[in-house]
Order: sequence, then structure tokens, then C-alpha cells
Amino acid sequence: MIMSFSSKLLLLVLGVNLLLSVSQVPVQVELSYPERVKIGDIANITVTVKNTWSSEIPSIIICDNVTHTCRFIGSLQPGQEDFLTYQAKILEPGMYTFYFSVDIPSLNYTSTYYAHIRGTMYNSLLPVVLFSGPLFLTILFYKRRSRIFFAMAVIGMFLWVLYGVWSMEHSLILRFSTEICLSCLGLEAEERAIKLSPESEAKLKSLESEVHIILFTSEHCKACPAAKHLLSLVSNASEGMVKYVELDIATHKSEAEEYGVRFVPTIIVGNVKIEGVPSDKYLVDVIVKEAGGG
Amino acid sequence: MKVGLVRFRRLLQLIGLFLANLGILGLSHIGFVYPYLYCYACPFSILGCPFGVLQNMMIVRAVPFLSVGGLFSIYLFSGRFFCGWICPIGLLTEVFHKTERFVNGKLFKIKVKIASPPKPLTFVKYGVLVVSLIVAYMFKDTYFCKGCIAGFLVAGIPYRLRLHIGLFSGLTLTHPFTIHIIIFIVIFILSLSYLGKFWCRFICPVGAMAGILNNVSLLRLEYDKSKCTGCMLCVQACPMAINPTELDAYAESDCIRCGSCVDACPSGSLRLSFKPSLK
Repeated sequence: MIMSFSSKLLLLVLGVNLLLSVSQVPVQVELSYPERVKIGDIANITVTVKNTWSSEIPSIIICDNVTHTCRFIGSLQPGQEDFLTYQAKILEPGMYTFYFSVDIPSLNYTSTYYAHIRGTMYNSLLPVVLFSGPLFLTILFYKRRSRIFFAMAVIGMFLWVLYGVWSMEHSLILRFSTEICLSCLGLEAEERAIKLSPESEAKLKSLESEVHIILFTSEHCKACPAAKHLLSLVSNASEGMVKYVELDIATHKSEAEEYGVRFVPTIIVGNVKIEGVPSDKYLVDVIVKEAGGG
Repeated sequence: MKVGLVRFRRLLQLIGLFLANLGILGLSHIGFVYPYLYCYACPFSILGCPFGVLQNMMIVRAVPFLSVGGLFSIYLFSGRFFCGWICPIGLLTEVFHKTERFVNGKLFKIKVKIASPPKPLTFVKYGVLVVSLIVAYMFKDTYFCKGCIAGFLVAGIPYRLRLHIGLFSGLTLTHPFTIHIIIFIVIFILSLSYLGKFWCRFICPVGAMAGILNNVSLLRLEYDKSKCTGCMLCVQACPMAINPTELDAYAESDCIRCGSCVDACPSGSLRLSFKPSLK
């Protein structure tokens, strides 16, 4: 193949540029993380940074959405490497994406790396296939009432129970039966029906001390906007004397456990726990009592 | 007069009602499900609703090993025993059935008669079971609970009373609690005809789950043809409207092992036995 001088020159320039551009990446970053993590377990993510630059890098900043902070790695000599470890607790099933942005201020270098972790009940689907056998056989030989198939079904179901206990399914059942979305049962109040009566407004205006309220909500709860709406009405009517914070039970698990939250929405006023969306009269009575008492 | 099974059954049903509400003694929740339909949102419940938990499992895309394995390993031995002997909703439907005699016999002096529904209609409960789970998987909500009478009675009413809302205040036609009430009234009226245990026969998905394994369960109704006089008193006594003398595959799956036919039989050709009659 005959190449002209100009094309050779072009290739040379391109090649040199490519080499330069490769060598311009000052650090080699590697993320190591588990791809599947059982719900409730802690996923360890390790970020390893290696200096591939020709000289010393004074400082590297790594920001993340695990701890929501930025951390520094000290100076790295050429060829030297350092690592940071993060711990993320997987609470719900589904795909989690964590990002780590690596920033070198002295070189104006920024790059972002992602870790994709799937929160699962089980580490693999193999047990599902293995243990489904006895159940399907039972259904298949439904009419035969054979002793062997009965024994197989009993053993199979017993294995299911064992596997369920081993994979911490009882904690998931406990969560379902203790953190109940009231709207999922059809027990919600309608948002547009919520308004304050004139008596309630008068009571709220005459408040003398501040009252702090916690509202526990969750993502899929349809009654929670109604509770929030009621609290915002109360807060506005009291001219700032009533203050409330909204906490999601998925992200504020320890607070939810502390207050023994069983339903969403739950409103905490002092020592009083109100589950669901209360009537405005009852809520205002509780607030007045709380303000008068403390 | 011989002491019938029904006496023991009432006693066991009342004990079952107490056991379901052990939270009244201050016990907290345990991570397992009731083997019968009872709402986990009841203020005194200690276990999870089996069908509510299954729907939630579908929503979070988890395979319910412990709940299904636990339930099926119970049902393999008992069949639909819990429906007839322990379930509080079963007790409620029997109370409905008693009111039927009063309303039709004493109050109006007329007998409301509805033609017996065709047998395949009892398969509706399997449809409810499958469709509710698929709907929960697709739309990520527990739609069955929005019409469940157990949820209405043991969670809905206490919830509204405890929130100081008043039982019927602020209700519009589309309010979820109104829908609960309407469904409850419809089921009550349907139970007043001689459809009897309407909920257990046609809707209850937990009964359907137990019914799948009724045909292979150890506890079963045994029929001795040589003693039978053919009086058909057992057919009249059966709350599930099946013929105990002709138990085929789908009549069998509806038998709740309540023993009404055993009580009614004058010749003693029917009995409940726990002997494995497997091949």
C-alpha cells in the first residue's frame, strides 16, 4: 500500500496526539463493588486511585452520593495508589446508582465514575428453579394423591420455608405488616376535602409557644400529600408558631423506629402519635394542648 | 341430642378471633402471615395478612418463599380447615347466614330465593387470586385491599374512630371508605339469600390458595357409601353448597371441613378423618 507523505504525516500527528491524550489522564480509577446485594446488607464500595502521571499529584478530591461529602486523598507519587472505602446500606429492592467524582484541582481534571448495585432478596435465581419443582409436581399430579408426591411437596415446602428464613424474608414481612401505607388499604382522606374551620383558625392564632411536629411519609403513599396539606394549612394559620418537618421512612429509618411508626402518614406532636390524616379539630386540640403544656 | 362438631367449632372460632388479636395484650408484630384472611392494619393484629403480604411481595418483585412455603406446608396437612374452624371472617359469614333465617323467616315472613349459581362460578376466587397479584405486580398498589371486607371491619372502622373523624363524616361517593362500605353491604345482601358464605365461596383468595391443596391434604371428609341412606340432609346442611357424597375435584376444593354434614348425617356415613388415604 502506497501512502503519500502528507497522509503519513497526518497519521503520525494523530498517533502522537492519541498517545498524548492517553497519557494526559493523570489517574487510573477503579471501582470495586458487589453487583447484587441482599436487602438490609451493607454494600462495600472501594475506590482505588493510582497515579499514572509523570510527576507527583498534590491532592485528589473524591465526592460521592453515599456520604454526600467530599474527601481528600493526600499527595500521590508517580505509580503510587491509594483507596477509599464507602459503605452503602441497601434497604429496598431495585437498582442503586452511586457516583464518585474524582477531581484534581492542580490539573483541572474532573471525571465521574458510577457503581451500579442491585438490591435483591436473593443472590441468585437458582434456588427458585430448584425449589419450584416439588410445587409444580404436586399441581401436575393433582388427582393422583400419591404418597411420594405428598412427601415431595412437604419436603419442598419445608425447603421453601428454610430458604425464606435464611434470606431474611421474615424481616420483609415484618416491614410490610408494620409500615402500612393507609391509602393502599383504601383508607385515605381526600386532599380537597381538607380545610380548617374558623374555630380551629382562631385557636391557632392564639398560640403562645412554638410547637414542633414531625410528619412521617413514604414514596408510594397517596394519603401523605393530604396530611402535608393539612399541616401546611395549620402552619400558615398559626403564623409560624407551628413548625413541621417531613421525614421519609425509607431514608429516616432510625427516627421511624424511635417513634414506633406503623402507618404512613404518621404525625408526631410531642408525645401524641396520630396515625393517618386526622380531622382538623382533633389535630388543633392536640396542638393547643402541647403548646399549653410545654 | 348428640354434641355436634359445631359446638367445638364455635369455641375454636372464638379462640381464633382472640389469637388473631393478641396485640390487645401488648404483643408486637411477628414476621409471619396468618393462615387465614385477617388484616395486618388491624390495631391488634400480630401477624401479616397472607394476601396483603403476597401483593406487597409482587410490588417489590420478591419471591415469597417463606409466606407461600409456610402457608402451603400448613395447607398440605389441613386443607381448608382454617376457613371453617378458625377464620374470623368465616365466623362473620356464618353470622350473616344466621341473620338470613331471621330476616327471611321472622322479619318478612317470605323466603327470598335466588337460583343456585352454576358450579364454575366458584372458580372466580382463583381469578381474584391471580388477577390481584398480576395487578399488584403491574400497578404497584394493593388493589384487593381497597375492597376487602376484613380490611373494612378490622382496620377501616377502628382507623376512622381512632382518628376522631367520625365513622361517616366527610364521605363522598368516590371516597375509598365509601367503596369499602358499598362492597360490604353488597356482600351482606348476597349472603342473605341462600348463597350463604358468599365471600368464602366466590371471592376469598386465601381460601383459593388453601383450596388448591384441598385435594391432596391429609385432613379430609370420608364418605362410606354402604351406610348412606340417600336422605340428602348433608347437602342441605352444607354452607358451601356442595354435595359431600359426590366429591369431585372442584367440589373437593370448596370443602371447608366444617363438619356440618357430619352433624347432619343420621346414618353416620360421613366423618372427618386425618388418616392419610394416599396411594
